[in-house]
Amino acid sequence: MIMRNAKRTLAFLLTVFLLALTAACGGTPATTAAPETTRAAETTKAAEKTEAPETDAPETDAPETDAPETDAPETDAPETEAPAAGYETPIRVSMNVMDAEKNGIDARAEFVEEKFNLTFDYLPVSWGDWNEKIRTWINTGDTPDLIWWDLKGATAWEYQSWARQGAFTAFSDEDFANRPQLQEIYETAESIDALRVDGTLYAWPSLRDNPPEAQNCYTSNWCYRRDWAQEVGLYKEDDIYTFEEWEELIAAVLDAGLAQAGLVMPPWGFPHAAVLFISDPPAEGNETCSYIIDPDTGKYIWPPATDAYVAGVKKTYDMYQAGLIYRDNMSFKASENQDMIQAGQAFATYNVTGSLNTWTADMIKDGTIEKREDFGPAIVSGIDGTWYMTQTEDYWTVTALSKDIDPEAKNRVLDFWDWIITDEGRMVRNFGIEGTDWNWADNEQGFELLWDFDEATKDYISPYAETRFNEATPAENSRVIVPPGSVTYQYDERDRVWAAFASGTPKSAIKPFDYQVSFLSAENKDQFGSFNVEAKAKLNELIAQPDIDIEAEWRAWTDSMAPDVQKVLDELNSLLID
Amino acid sequence: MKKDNSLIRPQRSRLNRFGVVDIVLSAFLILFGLMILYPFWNVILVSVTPTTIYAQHRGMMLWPPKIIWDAYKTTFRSSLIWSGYRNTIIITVLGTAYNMALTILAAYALTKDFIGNRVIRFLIIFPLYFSGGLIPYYLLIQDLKLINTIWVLFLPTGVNIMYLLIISNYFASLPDALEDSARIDGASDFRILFQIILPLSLPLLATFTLYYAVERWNEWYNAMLFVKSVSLWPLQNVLRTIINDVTVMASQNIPGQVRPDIASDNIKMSSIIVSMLPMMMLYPFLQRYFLSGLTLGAVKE
Amino acid sequence: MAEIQQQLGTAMSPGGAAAIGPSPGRRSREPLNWKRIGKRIWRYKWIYVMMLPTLLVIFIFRYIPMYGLQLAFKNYKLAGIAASPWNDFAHFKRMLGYPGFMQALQNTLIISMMRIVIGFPFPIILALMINEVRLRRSKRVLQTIYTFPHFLSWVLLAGIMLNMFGQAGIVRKVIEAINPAWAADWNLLYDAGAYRWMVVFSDMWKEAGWGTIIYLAAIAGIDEALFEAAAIDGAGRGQRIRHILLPGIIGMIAIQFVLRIGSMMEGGFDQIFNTYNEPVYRTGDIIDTFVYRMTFQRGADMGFTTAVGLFKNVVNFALLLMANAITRALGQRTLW
Repeated sequence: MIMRNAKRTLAFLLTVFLLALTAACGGTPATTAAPETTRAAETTKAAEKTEAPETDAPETDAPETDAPETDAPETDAPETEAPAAGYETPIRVSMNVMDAEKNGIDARAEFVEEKFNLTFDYLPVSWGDWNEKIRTWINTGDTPDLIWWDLKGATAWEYQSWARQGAFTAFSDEDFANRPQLQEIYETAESIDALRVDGTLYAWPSLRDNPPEAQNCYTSNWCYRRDWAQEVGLYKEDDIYTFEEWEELIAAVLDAGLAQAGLVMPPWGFPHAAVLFISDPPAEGNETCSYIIDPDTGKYIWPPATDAYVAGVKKTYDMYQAGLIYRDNMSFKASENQDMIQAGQAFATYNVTGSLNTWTADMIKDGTIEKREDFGPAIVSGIDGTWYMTQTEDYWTVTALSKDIDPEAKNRVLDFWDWIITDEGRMVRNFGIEGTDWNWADNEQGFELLWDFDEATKDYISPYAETRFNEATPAENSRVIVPPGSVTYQYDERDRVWAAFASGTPKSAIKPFDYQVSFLSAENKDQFGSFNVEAKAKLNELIAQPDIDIEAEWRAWTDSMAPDVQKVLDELNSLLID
Repeated sequence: MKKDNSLIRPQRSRLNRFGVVDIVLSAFLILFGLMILYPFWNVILVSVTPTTIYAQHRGMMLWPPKIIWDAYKTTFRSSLIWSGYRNTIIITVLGTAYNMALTILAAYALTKDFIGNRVIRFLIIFPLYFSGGLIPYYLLIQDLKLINTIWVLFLPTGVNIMYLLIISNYFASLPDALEDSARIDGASDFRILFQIILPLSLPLLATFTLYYAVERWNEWYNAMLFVKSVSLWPLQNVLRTIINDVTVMASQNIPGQVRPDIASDNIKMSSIIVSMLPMMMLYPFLQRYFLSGLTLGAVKE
Repeated sequence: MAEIQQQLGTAMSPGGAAAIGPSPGRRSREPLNWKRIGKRIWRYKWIYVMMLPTLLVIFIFRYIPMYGLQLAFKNYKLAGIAASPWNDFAHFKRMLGYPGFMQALQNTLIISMMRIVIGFPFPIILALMINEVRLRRSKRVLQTIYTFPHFLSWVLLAGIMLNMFGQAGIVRKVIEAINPAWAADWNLLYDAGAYRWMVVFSDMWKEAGWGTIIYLAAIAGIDEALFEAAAIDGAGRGQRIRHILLPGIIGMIAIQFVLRIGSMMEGGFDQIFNTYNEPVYRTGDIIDTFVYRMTFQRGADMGFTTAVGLFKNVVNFALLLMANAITRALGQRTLW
């Protein structure tokens, strides 16, 4: 008997051993990635490793999202002259980025490397772990040289506390003196002051680079199915609707059976985008609520307790209960709203003006719409009759320098930052190498693009991965350089929206962003913030319940929160208004 | 000694009549199986159906009107998937062997009445509940020079304390007579463990090998924290950037250019299938060890 | 027959721990006799050697970082844990100060209780049922299928649940066919009263198959000779289950149960986080999801999470000690 069982043990061990062997053959090399003494050397090795498999990937002609990174980049970097004066020593800096595997391995990176003798070692972060990693790195002192992060008012207290404890290398006035591009930002950007800690700047903002008329609002509005609006006969010239007309239109489209769902929203905007974001009750930077100054008393108040907010809550409740807002929007976790629009199941969704080109292209491909104009932005006034846009911070991310960064590395990086926002820098960043990818030209756009052109989609096919030194350089979501001959639908529509906004018909207003409140760090404010998490939860909870007195319920809740809210208000009033 | 099947046969044949109980039992088991298969089938469908078509049939599709393989092509074209597979397989194999070795040795030792047994048991259970948190752990890994190595992905796992306790209890429940007779023959502790205890514990060993393997296969947290180059990423971390980012991203308003391309449902589902398949294929190999019985006959000899 | 009975008594019941083998709890009451102690240590020398690697790993990776526990009572400073100032329980006060924390604590305990009462026995019953299937192949196939959902993540299952139970889902369509009135105000996913049940049952659906493995292994460990003997005695299915199968796995059930009780404060973050929504916070929000929401947007001192973890685990540990003591009193082999 023992023999029998022993055999079985043997067979079992053999199975495990064979599995081990198979695996070992597959990849012993990687186990040898032993710890190295310097981080730079380590990451170089990593970079080489990622590079290798990509070069021998089969040449594909699929024009899908992941454009082949193989073609152009490796071989032809025309700039071969020696590094400019002052750049004799090679510099390596580490930095965290998204899509680390796609960064730093194309001709653009090579160009920068040659021009500045500067190499980036990219450490991966992703949306799910970005803040957690930054927090761990800083708390253990193991930061990359450049710490790039998504600094928001709600977590600004951490930044301030770390800066005071010496986690970063400060920026000084001299750092910008001979760098005209940076100097301009340093002097004009509003956020510079907010980012100062006890008078010293520790984080450099990557500006949103919005057009001046937008005044740092991003183009957040509804986009809807114009063809359906026309079909039910309620289409309005120039897409301008009062709130009542908008409600009527949604109901008509649903009644006609054209759509399964009326309004669908991305999870962060649900259900506030329906009424509260676009109406009088204040919501700062598309948060569900913040603190505002009451014009009558000159003191800070909490918006959810105001009459205007309650009216917005009531309207949201009615719309949800009437089915104008899609019920299952409550369960959306990702891009379900996009799926429903693209499948032709929903009537309108929020905040997609900046991506209209790809959305409409996909919808045409899927046969959901016939032409791009069938889906576009709507201009909807709030329930108080005014059309609102919401202001945000003027930056989208910031970059801080590690306390251990080498002064020469710091200088080199700043030189690079200064250059990347020049005209030449922008072209390299967006389109690649002059002569290979593009040439200056005497046309409306000032350049010609040498990439392959896809006649079907009227778009160029980029030989590069989407990422392009996004970190630490300005976002160009408004001043995008549009290559000659490509689709301009989303830019045209955006310009049209902003022109209408500036014209004042319909009546328009901005919900301003308050840096002071946003960046204030105080005991209760750090703990509770603006109670926006709680407000969002409560609103969602209430609108799902049929047959309740929504106003009474809401007021009961704001009353119950009042003691805690008052603690924060007292801090704001005593610290900001003396 | 060979198992005498004649003793079993009368029992089997007598029970072979398919009674009411059997019918109810089968009906329940099959129904439960179907309840599991249907959503699972859906996952496969999503990976091969164009998103738009699937959305139009929300949850009601039994067979796709149109099949596309683009998602799989895209998934396999990514170089990270392959290096991810390689790293994950190494971690799973080395890690599982390492976990099992430590677990078995300690589990056997704990069945003995040595001085300090109770204390050691307590010391083993205690860290199940009390840990120092992230910072000291990170500093420790840093001091051990394990940051950005493949070792950090399984060395710290050591043993799963719950598994250790369960296995130890099982060892203790085996009849002592077996061990005693071997000891009289002069067998050492190691020999007893390997020649008597382990063969009698095969079902349990297979179970925990599987449990450990799946744990190692699914691990991402250590890699997320301690691995700084993507070429050392295990498969799960590659996939997490595809799948979970979309969820986190959608929970907050992210303007600007950091917004990565949202992976289509096809790609999400296909990458999930790609990551699950190897583990699911391992399963039947180990299954036989816990679905068939053992005979503890030796005690009578 | 007597021989078999005797075997039943020893091999079969790990529960009769007191009767068999060296019980780890036994202590001699005699005065210290150093010579004897030394002898005993020497006798078990190889046993100590066997434990050494495991204890070493546990010591290095679990005990060395444990000094970080003090962070629960400190405000973390970059200067280091030792240099961080004590904060007079500020983290605990903050935790308890959040409106909604007590609700989350209560929900955690209720959901855990439901999981234990309803969810815990299910894999055991399922394993016994699978064991009764006599066609070897269908037994294997079924058991394999049952383990499938374990490999799916909750992110994914949440999407599947929405597709099944949502407005356009198959369940509502079926119900509409039966009675259109019920489908009109279809609200299952946002019904706070139904949510806990959804949690418990979807978790059972997902993990029961995986959970059966360990019980099937325990069943496989039962000596076949016992079944043979029972067959000779003419024992029926019920008797077989009661007298052989259950006693054969009771030890496994006991230890699993003790460990399960010792994790009462864990409500299943992954599942809840991915499947809940605001209307069901009232009944479904657990400590982990609550703390996640509070810290994700606002950030938190490193000590705060340590404090929350400590709070949870002190309760868990107390429950474990209690469950262990009770199981011991019932005569089962326990953790120590």
